[in-house]
Amino acid sequence: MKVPNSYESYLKQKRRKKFFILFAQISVFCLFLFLWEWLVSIGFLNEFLVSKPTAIFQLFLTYLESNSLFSHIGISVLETIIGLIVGYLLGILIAILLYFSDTLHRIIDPYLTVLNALPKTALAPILIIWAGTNMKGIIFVSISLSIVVTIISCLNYFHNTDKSYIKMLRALNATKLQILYKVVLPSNLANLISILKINIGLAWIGTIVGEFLVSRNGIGYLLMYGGMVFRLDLVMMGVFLLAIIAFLMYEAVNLLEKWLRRTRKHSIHKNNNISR
Amino acid sequence: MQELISLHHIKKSFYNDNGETEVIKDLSFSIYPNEVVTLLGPSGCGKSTVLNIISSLENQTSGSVNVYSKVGYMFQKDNLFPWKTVYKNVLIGLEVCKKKTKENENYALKLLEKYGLSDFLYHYPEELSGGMRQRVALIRTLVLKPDLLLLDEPFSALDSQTRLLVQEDVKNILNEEKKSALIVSHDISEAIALSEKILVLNKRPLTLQKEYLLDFPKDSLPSSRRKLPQFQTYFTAIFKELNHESA
Repeated sequence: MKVPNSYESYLKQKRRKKFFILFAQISVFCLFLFLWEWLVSIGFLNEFLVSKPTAIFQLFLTYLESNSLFSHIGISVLETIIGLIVGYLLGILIAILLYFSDTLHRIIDPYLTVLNALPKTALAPILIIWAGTNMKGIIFVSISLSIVVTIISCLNYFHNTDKSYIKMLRALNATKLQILYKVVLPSNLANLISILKINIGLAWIGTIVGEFLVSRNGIGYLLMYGGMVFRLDLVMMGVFLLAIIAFLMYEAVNLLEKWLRRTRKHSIHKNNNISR
Repeated sequence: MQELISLHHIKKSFYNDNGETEVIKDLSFSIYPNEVVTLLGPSGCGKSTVLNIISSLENQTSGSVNVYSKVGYMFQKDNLFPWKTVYKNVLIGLEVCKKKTKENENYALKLLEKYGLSDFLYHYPEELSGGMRQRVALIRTLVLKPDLLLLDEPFSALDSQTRLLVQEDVKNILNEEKKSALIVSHDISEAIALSEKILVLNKRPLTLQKEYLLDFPKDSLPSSRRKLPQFQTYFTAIFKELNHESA
């Protein structure tokens, strides 16, 4: 390998590597699709069981033309995003409450542990009956999946905040609320975002399970319906759609993270300029 | 002369499931204006607990603490927030105490300028050297205009070169701003270089073993003190005192 002898060649090498990795990632995907198509066409794989990329794409185009695709996607995405945001924010709020009251935390702790260990999908039928056999019920299931993990991991991160920062603020007679928003929250920004990322997957599980149970719309419904009528191309299309949307949501959170980091630095500079 | 703080027969015990641990047995002392006092004792003898009691982060088990002045606390770690600029870090105390007025902000700027940090106002702590960070931490404490500074091993996290420089800085700032200080340390030469009075402490349970009044020219800096002959005399005496106890 060539040793970079200047900053430019270092940058060039870095760019080249980045490009190579992207190229390899796309190639792996193409190769996978090609192999799949080929193995089905020579009869090595049973088309009835695994379908094939071109058939899935054909189906995709049909759904696209009939306009029902976007309503399925839209409903699922809406349910997931509401479930994600409500579960996440409510989870953080409860975590803050429990962070403030050690006694309350200790009382609730065993219940949290049980709720966390319990497969929430087992509760989904009950939750849906309680909340209504419609979109509300599905969102409810989605919330139930993300909220418990949010509470537990937030609390854990909050309690692991650097004690010396807190001691410093306490020496300044800071209130608990000041300690929360001066240290605990800002020092855990990265952790809060990583919890949000984990929650994307969980909220999707909630939505899909909910749609399995009651829905007439949404990606979960497509998967369920496809499975029941042995239309594996429909199921595969649903899985592909899910993969793409989940990836996009994940990337959106990545962008949010970058933006937050930048504005945090930026806003400080801006304020300084005003005060000068 | 009116003392800034006075402690009378302080006793402190910690309780846990295994029973009672006596940390401080009996401690009394006072600090007067423009005085730098060092509590010198071996690591883990409960020195920091004394500072925590003075700043009411902890309560004494018995005895009385009288604080007649405003106290500022500075720690071993600089505790600068990595997500805030130097300037914003310095303003933390004002924000917490709701004293962020234009006047106080200007005072903060003045201090930063006076102690060579005006070019680094909008830098982040990670971009500063250990010595500069400690200076920022000291200014963050000074912005609240305390009369007495509590310094908890403020130099022990620094490398030995930086430590000497920061000691010089801190003493200079204490002189300039006419502040008193109570320093907690386990370093004999540091104690002699900085203070007017040294209280040598016994190991757990903590008691006062001996008090040294140091005779150096007024406002002399650590570097000039180290060159004076009495520095070595004090060092030898205190070294003996500390090791006599542990033998």
